[in-house]
Amino acid sequence: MITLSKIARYYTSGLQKSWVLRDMTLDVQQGEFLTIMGPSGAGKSTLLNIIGMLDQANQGEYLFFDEPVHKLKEKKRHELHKHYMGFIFQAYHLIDELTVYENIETPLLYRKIKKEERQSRIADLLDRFNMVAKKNLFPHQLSGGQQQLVGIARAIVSNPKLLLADEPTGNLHTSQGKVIMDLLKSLHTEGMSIIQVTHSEKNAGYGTRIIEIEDGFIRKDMPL
Amino acid sequence: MITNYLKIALRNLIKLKGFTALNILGLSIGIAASILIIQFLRTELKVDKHHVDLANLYRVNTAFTVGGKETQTATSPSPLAWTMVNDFPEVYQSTRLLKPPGVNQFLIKFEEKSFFESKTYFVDSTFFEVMTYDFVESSPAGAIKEPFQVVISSLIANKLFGGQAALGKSIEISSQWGADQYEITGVYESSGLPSHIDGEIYINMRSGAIGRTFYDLDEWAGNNLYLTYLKLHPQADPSGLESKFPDLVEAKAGERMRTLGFSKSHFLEPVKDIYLKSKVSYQVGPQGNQSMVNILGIIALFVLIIACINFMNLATAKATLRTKEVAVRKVVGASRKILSGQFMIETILYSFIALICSFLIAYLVLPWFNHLAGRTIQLDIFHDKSLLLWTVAILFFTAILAGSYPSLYLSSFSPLNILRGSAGKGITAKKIRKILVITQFIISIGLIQGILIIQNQLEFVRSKNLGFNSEEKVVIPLNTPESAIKYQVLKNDLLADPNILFVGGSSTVPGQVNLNDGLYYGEGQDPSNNVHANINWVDPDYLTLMGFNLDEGRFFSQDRIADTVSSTIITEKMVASLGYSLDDVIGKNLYWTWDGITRKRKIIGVVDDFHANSLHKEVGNQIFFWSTTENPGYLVASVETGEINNLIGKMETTWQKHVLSDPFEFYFLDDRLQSAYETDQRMGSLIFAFTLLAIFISCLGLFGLAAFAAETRRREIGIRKVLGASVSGIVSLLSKEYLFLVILAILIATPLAWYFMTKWLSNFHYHIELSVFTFIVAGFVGLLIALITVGFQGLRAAGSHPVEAIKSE
Ligand SMILES: Nc1ncnc2c1ncn2[C@@H]1O[C@H](COP(=O)(O)OP(=O)(O)OP(=O)(O)O)[C@@H](O)[C@H]1O
Ligand SMILES: [Mg+2]
Repeated sequence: MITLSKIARYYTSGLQKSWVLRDMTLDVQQGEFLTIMGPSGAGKSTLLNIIGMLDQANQGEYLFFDEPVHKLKEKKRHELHKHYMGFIFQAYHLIDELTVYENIETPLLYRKIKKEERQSRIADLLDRFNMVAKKNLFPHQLSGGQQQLVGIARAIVSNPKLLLADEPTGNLHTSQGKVIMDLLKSLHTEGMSIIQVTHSEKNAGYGTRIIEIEDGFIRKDMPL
Repeated sequence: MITNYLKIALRNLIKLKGFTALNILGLSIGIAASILIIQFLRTELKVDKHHVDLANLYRVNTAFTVGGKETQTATSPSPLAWTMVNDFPEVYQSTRLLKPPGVNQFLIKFEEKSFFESKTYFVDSTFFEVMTYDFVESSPAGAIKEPFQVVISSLIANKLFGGQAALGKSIEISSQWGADQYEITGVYESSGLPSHIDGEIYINMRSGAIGRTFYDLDEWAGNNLYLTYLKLHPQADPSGLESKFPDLVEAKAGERMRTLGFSKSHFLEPVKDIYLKSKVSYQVGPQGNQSMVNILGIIALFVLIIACINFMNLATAKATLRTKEVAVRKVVGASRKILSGQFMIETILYSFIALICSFLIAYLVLPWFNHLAGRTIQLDIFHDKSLLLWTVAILFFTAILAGSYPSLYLSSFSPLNILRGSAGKGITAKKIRKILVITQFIISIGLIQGILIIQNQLEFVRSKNLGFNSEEKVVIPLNTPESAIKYQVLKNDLLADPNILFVGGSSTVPGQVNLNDGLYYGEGQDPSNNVHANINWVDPDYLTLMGFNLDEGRFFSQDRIADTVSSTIITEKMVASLGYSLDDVIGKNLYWTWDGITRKRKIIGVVDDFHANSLHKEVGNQIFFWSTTENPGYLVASVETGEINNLIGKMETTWQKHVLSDPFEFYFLDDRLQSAYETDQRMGSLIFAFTLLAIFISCLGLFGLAAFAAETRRREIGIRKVLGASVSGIVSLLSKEYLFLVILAILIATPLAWYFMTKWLSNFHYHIELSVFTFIVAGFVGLLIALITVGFQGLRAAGSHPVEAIKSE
């Protein structure tokens, strides 16, 4: 599904280039549950964002289902991002002014999905996550774990091919974190491809493969 | 999708109540102001636009050259109208309108009812074929084909007959020319189709004594008393027609004009331009004012722009609070286009709310606006289709102007920033906000400079020495022969009242159009090299009671009966025009030749120049003759104004005792003279009002921005306070950048205001000189307002508790 070859990303501050990623070469198959690990500042989020097409590499090639992402125009890239990617964040990033229901609905609106279809999809998810009673609450009325459940629901409601999660349990207690990880696991068993970033060995254990990055290189790449 | 946008817009609106209110209030006031001004401008621009064949309608104006000086009038000689139709194939039809000379008012009578009406004109039978009127009784065709037929406005019809039909009724119309019975053959609607001709009553010109004298007066050189209107054939070339005029004038009047010592030419003025653009004298109705229309139009635009700028500023400032929402939406699939669409819809929602509020505001202030503008403007959004269209146009204008930048700016946020947890930067936005604030202040300060100059000029006009004393003077027009012959009796009776100090009579008083004039020359001078002067026929008391200042010689004296036939008093300017000096003029003779007969009078006195017209015009030459035989047109009483209402009541009783036929009418001389500046004063107060508005809206915006800046710098301010910064230090920290902006705005605004105000002042022949001081004061006022607004926020920020501010990170 994903083929990265010699991907590099740097930031320029003044005249100096500071390299975050150098020579990233990586293949990810459909159905994998990949975990990215590494010390803080290693470039994990940067890599995830490049894969999620929110950011672009300075060098290297990125093929996504044989589409050369690095050559695509902004508009086309946006289309790919919109149709294949779902994102989950450490800080949930729900829209504060929208209710649970509306937050989950937002991606569907941008995909021009009919109202009945939207209702049924959201109802299914709310049901599955035991959030039916909470659907008219605003984010600040929920616990962190519940907010992250909404975050996941929002990420998967549009049926993406790939779920990208940047430290999804970073802000949660262990018990809440477990709920989230169990959920990701079951999504994976249902066929979803997942790439997560985490600092926790335990969470990494939910996946099928771990890569560790440091100084811009992949230090380790091991299947579980 | 849209419902989702509206939902979030409304929730944001409620969440930031204060900010939103500020934003919408500014926008509403701006829109309300522009709606009012647009309505005003529409009524001004509507005048005369309804005439059928408007593009082919022209008035023949006249330019007189006397002693090297040109004056232009709306009037022309009697035979011009029919000659043009007969001789020039371009002219399809012509019609004349006459305001009979010396008649200021006509007395209108029906059964028991009577009143004076000055807007009474004698017209040719073709008048209603050339000019379009909205007839409610009868029809234009054949309405005043015969003598003693009259067409009246619905206003007059109501006054005379209440709600009853006017058609066929007979009314009496009288003046010093006599009284006649007239049959009403048509009534037209007063409101609705505004015209530059202010008439209420139109009489067939062949009627009565006036008709006998004026209808077919065959005089080409003098007696330019008629307004001549032409309807040209559609394919006719007006400038080609104009080029035929000089030969016509030469053939008909050349010889005669040379003996009389003047020359003239005729030119066409399109009827569509008369109301706003015509500059000639002797109009028959109030003139609009193109520069007022332009200035108000610009101000409307300015106020709206200021309001939009506010909106943009506050919206972009507020945008920093929405970076997260934008980023999240982008991550879940929103494109930039869709996002800017969302914010555009929000702006439209805001504009729409503002539009509704603005209508409420506009309705509330409408009476006051009408009072200022001197109009009766209506705001009927449900029936006035063009108003509705304008409203929609304003809505889109504001939404696009106010919404485009914020929506582009907001939608440009990169999601990466929030993913990394850092807030949006907004350097560019800050720069643009600064430019916008400067624009607002350029407009506001320019307007302040403008109103200061206008107020100074109006004050100058009020306090200028006019060459006579206009205060505490009651003027009673003597409109009919019945009242004029009672002058002496009235005078004696009125003087019996201790509160009436002097009573005098004159053929004219300052502020009235004086058609009484002649061409004069001095002893041994060439008669063709003559001097034009207006004649004032007065009795000796008039000169003293008006306070004309005697420079040389003496006034007329009751003891010297010869003064009535052989003496004259002239003004200083006349002395100079004749080529004399103050030392040698007394005792010289003044000559004039009319119809081959030369007459003379001895100059016995010289008075200061006086302003018989408004200060818009240069003073002219004036001469005084003592009138005993001619009945005065005006009685002027110099009074104690202590119990003025009581006194007027007594004057009315005296009047009714002697003048049975006419109602009593009077006015105060100073009031009437001020009315010449009505347009200027209205413009002054309108600009004043809208300037205040512009400043108020700017302050709202600045207030919001400063609040925002203070809010975003809370932590910094807190730390500074902990480190020992003083309150004044913090206030100046927050105000400093605005100080610079306002000074920059002053520098840009001043030359602009200077240019436009010089143009405005050139409308007055007598005007103040622009002084740098005014501009400095205006700039200072602007600066002060800005600093107070910003400083207030600074104080608030400086006053907040530092520890809380730091904790609130
Ligand atoms: N916009 C930027 N400009 C400059 N440097 C940046 C920018 N974004 C990221 N970096 C730098 O790139 C490096 C990698 O950042 P990244 O967020 O990918 O790290 P990370 O591995 O996700 O760290 P963490 O575990 O703390 O989340 C960091 O050193 C960061 O300072
Ligand atoms: Mg990270």
